[in-house]
This record gives sequence, structure tokens and C-alpha cells, in this order.
Amino acid sequence: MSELAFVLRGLGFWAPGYPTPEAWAGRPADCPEDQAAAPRAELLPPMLRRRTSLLTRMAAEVAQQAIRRGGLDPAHTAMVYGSVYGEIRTTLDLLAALLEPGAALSPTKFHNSVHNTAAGYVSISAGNRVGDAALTAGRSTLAAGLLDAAARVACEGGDAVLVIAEEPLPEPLAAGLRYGPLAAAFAVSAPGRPNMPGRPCLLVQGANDMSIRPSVPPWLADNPCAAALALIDAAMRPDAAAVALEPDRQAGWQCRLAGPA
Amino acid sequence: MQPFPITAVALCNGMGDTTAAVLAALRAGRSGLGPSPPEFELSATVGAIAGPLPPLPAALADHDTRQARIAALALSELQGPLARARARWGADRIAIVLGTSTGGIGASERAYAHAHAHAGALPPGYTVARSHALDAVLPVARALGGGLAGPAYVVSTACSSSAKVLASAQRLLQTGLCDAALVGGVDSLCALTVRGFAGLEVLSPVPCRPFSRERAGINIGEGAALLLLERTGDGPARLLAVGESSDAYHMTSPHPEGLGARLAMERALALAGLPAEVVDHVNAHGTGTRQNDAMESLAIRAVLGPAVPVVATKGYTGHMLGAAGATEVAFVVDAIEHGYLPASVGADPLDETLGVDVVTARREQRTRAALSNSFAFGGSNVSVLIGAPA
Repeated sequence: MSELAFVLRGLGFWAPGYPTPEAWAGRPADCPEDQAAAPRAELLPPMLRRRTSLLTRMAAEVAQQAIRRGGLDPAHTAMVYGSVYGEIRTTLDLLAALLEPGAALSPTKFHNSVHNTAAGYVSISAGNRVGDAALTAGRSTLAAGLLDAAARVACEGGDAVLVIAEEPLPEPLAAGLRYGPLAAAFAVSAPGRPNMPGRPCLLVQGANDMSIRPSVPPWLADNPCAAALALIDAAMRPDAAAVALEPDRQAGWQCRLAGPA
Repeated sequence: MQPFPITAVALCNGMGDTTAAVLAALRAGRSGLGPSPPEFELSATVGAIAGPLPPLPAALADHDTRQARIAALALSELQGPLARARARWGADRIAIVLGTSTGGIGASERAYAHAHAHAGALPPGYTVARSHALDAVLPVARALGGGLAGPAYVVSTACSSSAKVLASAQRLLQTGLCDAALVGGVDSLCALTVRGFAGLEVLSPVPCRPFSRERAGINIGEGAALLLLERTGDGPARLLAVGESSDAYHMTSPHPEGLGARLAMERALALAGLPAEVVDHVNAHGTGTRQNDAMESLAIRAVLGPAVPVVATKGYTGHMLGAAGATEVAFVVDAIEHGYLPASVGADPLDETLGVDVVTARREQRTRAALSNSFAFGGSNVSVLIGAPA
């Protein structure tokens, strides 16, 4: 049985109407979606920000929150980005443009359609030359992202931030499936460094308790990165917890968070 | 970082639909570039897999896209090595880390056109999760790999995707999260990438000529490159280390002095604990654009000096984007195993102002270790250090 330890240093969160981890943790029971809300994404200079999508702005916003709260250096943190459909709205614009035979595609939209778009903008904005990855594993993206980020700091030291971000699927590709956007970030370091504040965590595999359903509002239930919501909830509480990172499966990766020492 | 043996390789691309055909073309200096097949309705020189691709087994019919068929074609050649690895390590100890830039976007192009003509209705058989998504290749690889059940994910960082996967897989192996990893890249030809690069005005109408003074830009290619990494075992080469960096400069233009490229190569050597002198050749990113050739030459000279032989192989395959990195690593493995440096097809006459020793004709020469470079949109850089067996 394989497992991997890491230290959780800081969090970031954004969903429409819930611009911080505290706002999410203190959500009302009916948890309405504020569709007019937009992430501030102040990490991105305005000249760059105006060229970016909701996905990239959400990613930049939560990345900055986690970096700041974890006390990390934005120029010297490895960045890992997880998203299932990535820059899907920009991609859809390109699919529409392709219907015109021979028309040139917008170079900006083309380079903004790649899965590592947010990675590029954030590295440019933060002056970060450490290196990054953008990944997906469908509904296991949170698990894959934590494994990748924790393995990164275990092998190479330093700090990493995992950014999970998913924007709504546009029609016609969505075929009626509707969910709201969300983004969450987790700053991680390898265990064993002296005088490092943070919460010890362990990635393990096991059977999921299918009777526990995380508290997710209906407008986020079908977001393929919704598993991140339960990890934010558990990380915002002090008590020990085991969070299913692949809650749709009978068994899978889990994150055990230590309780108070 | 701890080295791990590369115990098996499978390739398909414009040079051929089997590993043997691809490597025979590489050894003979025979390009796989040609006019785009008519079904793509593109007027471009491309590296396309010729002929019809075999359909997927019935159990995977829901996943049937060109992308999945290309993955399946390469996987069909790894059945023996994967069976041995499953018996040795257990299926749950074999990870899958694959790179792609396109995923099934070709299927989405047709689906979008269909929806446009049919009041928003998607064509039968198309779903965004199984036809379009970058991770749709994972269930195909799990199933055709014989039920692989270790950690499985897709890395997508545009043109560095399938070199990045080697970094992730090496860390999964080193931390004990798996004992073997199926790694590589799969990309499929589609209108979006060809017309996207045309919009950036970097597409060459004729076969690309990296490092030549007659270069005129890039061609797009497709295909798959799969490699099996194992904790221990016999193989033709070893993965020593992978250096990663970001330019932090521009979304599409490389840093003009090749800063990020230099950092990636330096980090690969540092992570392996090896001096620059062990590098006997470089498989360059070598796309065939003036900007890339200039900055990459500067970076190679800064890290390794002007004498190291440089091989550019995109004149064989075109730029395979999300499958390029792993394909070029596989070419380095063949060069190490058979003691030669492939000709950089199209490079002659060289751009002498670059000041690097580009291999224009095949050389019979041993390689102890080689760096394989990949650079991408977003300023994403990676350099993979491959070594001869211990």
C-alpha cells in the first residue's frame, strides 16, 4: 500500500459569492450562487488580466491566496494546475471560428486555449521560473494533482501550490449539463523542515464511506472538480479528518488531515 | 534523482505506423512529412499517420476517436512488456502518465459543425467527457494496458506535455507511489492546431528545416510515443533526470536569450548530479522557426559549449505538439542503443550564424548521455536527460 506525506501550508478558494476559504466555510445553508461575482485576480497586471478567461482569473486568484497564506515566495514556488476541461470557453470560440473556411484563427485565442494558459500568465506575472505542470484525470483530478504536487516537493524540496479550477461547460458541448465555476488552491511542502507552520497530511488509498455525502450546493454538484470542496471544508476545521479525493468511486485516494497536536 | 530503466518503447507517426517502421526511417534519414490527407481539408504539409487506423475493441467503442485509435495503435505493440510488468509489479503498481495537447479536439470540430447545422444537437456517439476531454485517453490506456490500476493522469502543457510526463513519472517512482509507469504522449491531427499555428504565421508550406538557413517555419505532426519505465530491469537506456523551468517572459515567444531553455538543461544535469561533459548529443526542440533556432542555439552553447552535436528530428515527424517530447526521447533511446546520431533531415545548408554543430548527415558515434529539449506556449520548458544503461 503506497502513501505519501506532505504539510498543508495554506489555502485559496473562489466560487461565485464565496471569494475566500472563510467565506466558503461560513456559507449559509441555502448557499446561493452570485452569478455577478468575478475573481479579482490581482496577481495579474491589468494589461495581462484583460486578455484572460474566467478560468485563468480564478486560478490566479486562488494561487495568490494560497501563496500568501502559506507564507511562500510567489517567484520560487512550483505550480501545479488541475482542471478537467481547462479553457473550454476559449476553445469553443475557436471551434466556432473554424466553421469559416480559410479564416485565420485569433493568435491570442489560440494560445489562450491551451491547458497551461493560467500557468503561463501566473509565471509571467510572478516572475516565477521554477516550472509548472497542468494536468487532468477527469473526476480524479484533485487526487492526481495532490499526488503530483506532494511527489514534487518530496523529491526536489521547496514548496508547491496545487491550483484546481473549473469553469462551466458551454453549450452545445455541455448537452444540458450545468454547473457553476469553482477554484481552490493548496500550498504544500515536504514534511521534516524545522520551524515550518502547517498541517501534517497523508495521502492514502482505501474504501470510501459512501454513506457520507459532502455538503455541496446543487449548482456545484456536477462540477467535475467538486471533490475539492470537501478538502477545503476539512482544512478549515481544526479536527482530524479523512477526505475522499475520489468520492464518486467505491475506493480511491484519500487525504488524512492531522488534528490538533 | 534516482535513475530508472526505460524497458520498452512504442512509436507511430508520419514516418510509419509501427515502431520498427518509424525507427527504420530515422536510421535511414527518411522524412515522414507530406501533404495533408484529404479528409482534413487542410492545405498544409503535415506528418500524418498514413492509411486507416484500426478501430477500438467493442468494449471501448464509446471512446472511439482518432486520438484514441492512435493511442491504441501504439499500445498494441506494448502488450508483451506490459504483461511482464503486470506479472512482476502488479497492475495496481503501474502508473499511467500521458501527455497530449489536442485530446479529442478533432472530434469536437466535427461535433460543433454538426450542432451548428442541427439546432445545437451533438452527433450520435459524441460526448465531451469521452470524445473531447484530454483525460479520455486514460480509460483506453488502462483497459488496453491489461487493467492498469496505479495513479493515472494526463499532463497537458502544450508542446512540452509528453516530456513533462517523464518528470512526473520519475517522482512517482522515486516516492514509491508506483513501481512502473507507462508514459508518453498522444496527439492527433486536427484543423484547430494547423489553423492556429497558421494564425501565428509560423506554418511552413513545405517540409520544415530546423537550423537551416532555408528554414520557413513549422509543420504539424501527429502520433504517439509510449515508454515503459520500471523500478529495475534491463533496457536500452535510462531516464536520469528531467529539468523543468518557465520563461516567465511571454505566452508564445521564447525568451530571446534562451534563459528558460538554459535553466531546464542546467537543472536536468544538477538533478542527475552529472557534469555537462557527459552529454554527447542534444535532441533539440528545433521547430524550424527563426526565434526557436536562435534562442535554443544560445542556450545549448551556454550550457554545453559549441562542440556538442545537435540533432533536430522535426524534419521527420513535423511538430507532434503534445506527443513531440516523448517521441524525441524515444529517438534518443534508439541513438544510444545503436550508437549513431540521426541526420537532422532538412538542416542542410546550415544557418552557420547559430554556432552549433548540427548533425546534417548520420554519424556513427556513441552516446553516454543526451539531453532532449521541449519548449511550449506559456514559456514551459523541459529538458530530459537520458543515459546509456549502467
